[in-house]
Amino acid sequence: MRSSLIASTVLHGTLLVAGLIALPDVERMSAEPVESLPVELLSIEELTIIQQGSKRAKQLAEASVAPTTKPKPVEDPKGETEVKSEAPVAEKPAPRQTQSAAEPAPQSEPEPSVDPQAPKQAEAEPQEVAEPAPEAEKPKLADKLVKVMPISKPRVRPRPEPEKKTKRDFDPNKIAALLNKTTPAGGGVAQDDKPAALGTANGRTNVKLSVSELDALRSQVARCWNPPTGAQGAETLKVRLQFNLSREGEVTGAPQVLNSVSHRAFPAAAQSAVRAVYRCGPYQLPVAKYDAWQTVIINFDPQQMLGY
Amino acid sequence: MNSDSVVEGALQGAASDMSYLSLFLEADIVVKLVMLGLLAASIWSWAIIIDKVLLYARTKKQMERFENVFWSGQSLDELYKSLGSRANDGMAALFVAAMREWKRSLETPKPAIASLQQRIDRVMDLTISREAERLEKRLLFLATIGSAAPFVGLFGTVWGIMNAFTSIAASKNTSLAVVAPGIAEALFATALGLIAAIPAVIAYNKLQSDAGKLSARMEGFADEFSAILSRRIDERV
Repeated sequence: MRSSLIASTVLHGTLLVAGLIALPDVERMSAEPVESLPVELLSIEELTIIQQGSKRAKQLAEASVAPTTKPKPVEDPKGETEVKSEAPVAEKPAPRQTQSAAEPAPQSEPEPSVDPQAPKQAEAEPQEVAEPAPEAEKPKLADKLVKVMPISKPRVRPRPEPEKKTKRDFDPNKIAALLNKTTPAGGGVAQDDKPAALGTANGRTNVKLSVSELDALRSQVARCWNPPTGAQGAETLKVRLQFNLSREGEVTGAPQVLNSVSHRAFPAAAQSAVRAVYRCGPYQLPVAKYDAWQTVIINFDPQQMLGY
Repeated sequence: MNSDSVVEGALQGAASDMSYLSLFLEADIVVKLVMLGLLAASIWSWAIIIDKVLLYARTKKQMERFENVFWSGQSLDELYKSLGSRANDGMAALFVAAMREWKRSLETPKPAIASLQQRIDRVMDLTISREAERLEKRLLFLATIGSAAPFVGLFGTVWGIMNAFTSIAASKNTSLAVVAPGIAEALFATALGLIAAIPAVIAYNKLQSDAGKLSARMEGFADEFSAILSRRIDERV
């Protein structure tokens, strides 16, 4: 028994040591980094500022909020897209280039040496520049150029080329095409620490009062309403009232009662609703959404407003 | 138990490597005791397993050898003379016990033959049960380890997890880094329990059936030998 006990102890010891040595350390499980979704909390004020936009906003390739609806100028769409991306650069040197276009030599000659890999293009271009074309013919040439270019161009794109192309392609008649077509709207409040957005057309499109804001307005009115509760069937006295508000939230003009209920107390109820609207002004509502609450229709329902 | 030290240990565990040695060293004292006990149980049960396997192999070989000699046609008296002097076990012990009773009854001046058969049977039964007991000694320990070790390990685990939750409460921090080391070392106790229990259960079943086979073989031999002696007795009468 003793020998087997010793054997067993030795066995266990060996296994433990072997386990300590041979078994690899616990592998660290690699946790996949979760891509974080940046969320920025904006107050309503900040949202308004973004929507109103700023003149100083950086122009992006696409409008930040809404696409413009300006009619497209008629021209080759290919040429337009090519030029458009370089529009801000092309805008300034333009007037000078028109004058210098008449002298072909200095521009066309260095080209073969600069661009030895595209002989075809080199052939095509000097020809074009050499005969100073009349102004009317230019758009056609530009089209031709656009057609020729892609064949020789795709692989090699030496740096001087695009610059040259903008010079060639420039046409004073197409300046409109070069301009960015999204117009920055409205004079927004300057906000220095954040990149300003171009904003929507008038800063107020697609504005709707949120449910909570509507509720706020309704509760402001309901606070002041004293319907004729004593009357029999008072819960049927629903009054539909339309009224206009000024920017400051004050009632302008006379509220109109839009419905009528055949009930003795209805005139009194309607009167009380009108009084309530007057009494509770000015209402506090987000100025940015003035379009939405310029004209308000409120249902005065005794059941809902007063908890009958 | 100091809760600060628990938290500290847990945080250290999170920072340091998680080798099995550190798992053991950083465990609570109760869990440590459980682990050590399970290790000792494992060592002891393996000692029993090794011992029994060797014993059964030896016994089986002895039985075969004895049967060969017994059925070789050698006279019983000669066989008894060659065997009687040394300590025997297994079938040889059975044979020697029966022969001793035979000799004692016949070599007296007044032979007691009348109930000799019964006496011989009884002596052989006694020897068989003594041999069986020798074969099955300590096997029950294996059965106990097999059934109890998982529970002991589980106890260590429950205790360790309890400590892990205490460390959560102490540090007021539910991050996995606080809990994980405690739970890992706690589960290590269950692993040890299973490591001790599984071989014990398997070996118990195997050794039990082996012991049963050996006993049955001895009983078979006893019946045969009893038949032979009975014939001799009847010849004498």
